[in-house]
Amino acid sequence: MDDDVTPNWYHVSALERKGFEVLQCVIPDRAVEEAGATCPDIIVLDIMMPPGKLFTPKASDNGLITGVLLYSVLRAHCPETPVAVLTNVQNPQTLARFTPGERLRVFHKVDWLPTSFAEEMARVAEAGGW
Amino acid sequence: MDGVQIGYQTIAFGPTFADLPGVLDALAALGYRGIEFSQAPQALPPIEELLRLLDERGLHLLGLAGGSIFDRTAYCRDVRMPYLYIEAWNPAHAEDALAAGHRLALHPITFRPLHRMSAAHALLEEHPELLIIPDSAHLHIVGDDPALALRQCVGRLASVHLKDWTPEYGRSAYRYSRGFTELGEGVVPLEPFIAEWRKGAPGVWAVVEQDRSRTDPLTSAYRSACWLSDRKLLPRPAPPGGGAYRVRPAMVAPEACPPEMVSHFARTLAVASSEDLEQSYTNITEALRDVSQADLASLWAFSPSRDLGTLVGVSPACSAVEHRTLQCGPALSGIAVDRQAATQFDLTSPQPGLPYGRPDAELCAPEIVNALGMRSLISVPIADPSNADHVRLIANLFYRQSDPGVSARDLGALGSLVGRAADAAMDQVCAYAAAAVNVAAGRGKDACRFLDRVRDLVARLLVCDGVTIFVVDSVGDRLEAASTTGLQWRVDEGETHYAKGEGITGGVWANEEPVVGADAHEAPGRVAKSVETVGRQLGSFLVAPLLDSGGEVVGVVRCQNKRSADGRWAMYSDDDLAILDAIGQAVVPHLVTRLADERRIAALGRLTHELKVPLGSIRGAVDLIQHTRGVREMLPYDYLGDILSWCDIMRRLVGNADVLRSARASLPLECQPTFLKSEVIAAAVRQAGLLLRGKRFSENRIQYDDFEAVPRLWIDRSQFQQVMFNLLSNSIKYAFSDPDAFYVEIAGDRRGGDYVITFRDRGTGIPSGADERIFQEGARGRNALERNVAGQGLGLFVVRQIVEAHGGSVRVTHTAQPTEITITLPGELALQPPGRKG
Repeated sequence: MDDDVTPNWYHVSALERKGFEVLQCVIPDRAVEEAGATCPDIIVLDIMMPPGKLFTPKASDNGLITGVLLYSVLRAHCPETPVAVLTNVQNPQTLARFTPGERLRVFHKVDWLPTSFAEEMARVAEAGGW
Repeated sequence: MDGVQIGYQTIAFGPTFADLPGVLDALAALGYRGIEFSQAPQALPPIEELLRLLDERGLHLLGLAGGSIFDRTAYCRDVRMPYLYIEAWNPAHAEDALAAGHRLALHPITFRPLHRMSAAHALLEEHPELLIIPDSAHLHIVGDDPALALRQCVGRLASVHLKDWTPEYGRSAYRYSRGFTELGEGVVPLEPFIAEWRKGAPGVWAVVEQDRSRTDPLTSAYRSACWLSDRKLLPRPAPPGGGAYRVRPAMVAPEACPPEMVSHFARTLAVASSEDLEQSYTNITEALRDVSQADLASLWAFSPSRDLGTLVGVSPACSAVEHRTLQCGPALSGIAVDRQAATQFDLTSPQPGLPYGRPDAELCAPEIVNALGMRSLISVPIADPSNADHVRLIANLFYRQSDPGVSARDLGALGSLVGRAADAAMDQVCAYAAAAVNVAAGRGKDACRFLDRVRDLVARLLVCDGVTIFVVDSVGDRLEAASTTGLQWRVDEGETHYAKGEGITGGVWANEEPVVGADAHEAPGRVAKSVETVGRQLGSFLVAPLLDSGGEVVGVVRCQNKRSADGRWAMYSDDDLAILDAIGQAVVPHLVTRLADERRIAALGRLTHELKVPLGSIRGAVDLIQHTRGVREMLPYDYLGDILSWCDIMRRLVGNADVLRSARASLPLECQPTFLKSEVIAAAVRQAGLLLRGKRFSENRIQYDDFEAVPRLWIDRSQFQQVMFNLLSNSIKYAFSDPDAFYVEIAGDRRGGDYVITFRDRGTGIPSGADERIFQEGARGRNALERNVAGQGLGLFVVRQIVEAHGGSVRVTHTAQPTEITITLPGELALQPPGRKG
């Protein structure tokens, strides 16, 4: 789940090379719709995204924390699914808004190239979570 | 030159002539062939003599512009004039002139009710007998195209006025006329205006006019004649000189005033001078009453555009004077203004039908006059010292005697001294306002904070409840509220922006003219938007554009509810507009620079964001290629690894731009507990690897200690990687191509309660005295320039911004061999992010 599919295309490719079937959503509404139908093995999402129709610009701080809001909605649908937050956001206050201790991990985009990220996801899928 | 008819207008020679024949001789010698008189008929010889004087010199009488239309009609008697000049249309006033067979010519003038060509056209259409005198300068000042206006009026032209103007003195009613200048010295597009006149109306006279001369009127007439001569419109004039040219400067006629009156006024005023405009007016009124021996003196700021006087002084302080504004049209003061002469009225015996010499004349507030027992009034219109044609103040002097014992003529002359005193007081306030703006500008580069200071200055000098400053946005789409003040008068959510033409505020943007009023509903042609009026007790308002030197609107200032000294609501006057204009003139250059800077920085921010996306994509694509089976084996060298390294370097360069962008406000930090050695320095060294390889420098020549004394610190890891990368990048650059000159040592320690990072290298060093300058934005050393070292002078500036954002400091502690830069970080960072208390 990200607002811009271009740079993500490589992450998607790397994940597909690792055998994942990847469903990309560019608005939160679609992600919730899909997760409501079937919970995936892993959810990957960003933090800064357009709020879509699901959230108001004000609630999402003009899209700066859409990922945080979306996470809580997705988590309600898929309580057991590991969630990887792949983001450029490093602000601890923002990151602290994710409930600690759950099946969630934050990955900084600059530190994770697509292949290494896909390998980590494969490991998580195999282990059933972190 | 044949067939070209060019005359001269005499306004700059003052209200009276000391040597009319001499002036006419001189103007004729300069090649001018006709004269338009701006002096009131009282200042001219009888019409027959005037015509004889002109005829003897081969000059034509082009028109009469001075004094009231009644006086001019009476003056001409049986002589048919080419035209009588009017500034507004009043059928009752024009009746006599039309009956005498004169033609009337409308002259649109800045700050008169009728100053735009759109209004003039409507009047011309309604009155087919009316002529018009388009004036190049006035049309330019109000934003009309002079050449187009002339073309549209061909067939109805009485004459055309050739006039130039510079905006150097501002655009307010009291100051704009200081900007009239010799032809070719100003900004008015004269060439197309003249071309249009020559093409469309060659038989019509062109009258050169300059309301105010900064030297003497004949020198100005000579300079304009030279400019016309260069264009083959006049013969080459001889330079002025000799007795005939020695005409006294225009405007004031102090010799017409009894000397004892002059010295008395000067003495009284000197004792009471003040920099406070309101106090100055009080002092002037008191001095005027003292000298004139009036029983009651009142001073009114006059706005010609609204035909309105605003009370600015009354002496003795008189509680009976309740009315603060004076609609001058039918008032006795209006008669004096119309005549451009001090006029005495007997208040005890108004004649039936013609009470004060006019059918429509009336005494304002007769109950006060009666209650105080006043029997006579001398009303003195006081001209702007820069423009005899522009009444700026009205002094009303009331006497209990029917015969006051002083002549209206003497008081009229005294009035010109009052005008100068008021002008000086206004100059003081405007000079103070401009200086205050410059001080505000010197206190920081942030546009919003600058405008907040300007807003407070406006509120203080104009004494008003609310001030909002709007700024035109970067694309010119709308006005955005940039600063607003007051609790009750803070701008509401729905009014934070205006489209062009929307409401009164947007209307000022569209029309480029100020609007002043008491009720926003009454603003001409505008529907007020929400709380411009609704739901608030609106006493008065003033909305004025902030114009750049080209006359383009940069922003709009809105002032609400002016208060007088006694706390009551008051009307905004042309004084307020003049002060606001002075503030605007000082503000706009600073504001334009700041906005351009901020908009550039914002654009830089967008650019850096845009750059990060392709950078991330390149990294992703390269990573996938790297991990495609067989690719690595095909390549003789790790080119793909190089691409990733270059991406890292680009990311750091983009990071510099990010810091540069944020440095204007406060740098946003994303702090987390970080080990300096492993998470900052090692990462930066890795990122600089490619730069090292490019120069064949060894990574081994970067030494860093264990940083044992430095715990994890709450810092922005990425920003500190930027700090280290910038320092390393400099060391690599300034070692030039000498591998031995490249040696870097980085050490961490605890010193006192702080943590210290020392960064040493053996490069070329820092020139003596440059140890502070190298941290400034854009600073580049002589070495860099002489030896073509790449860079923009941003690296160390960024280092300082980041370190200081963490509450630390950075300085040069040794300039050469080794060069040492020391970063000090506060001890609290071991416990908490920067800026958090306790």
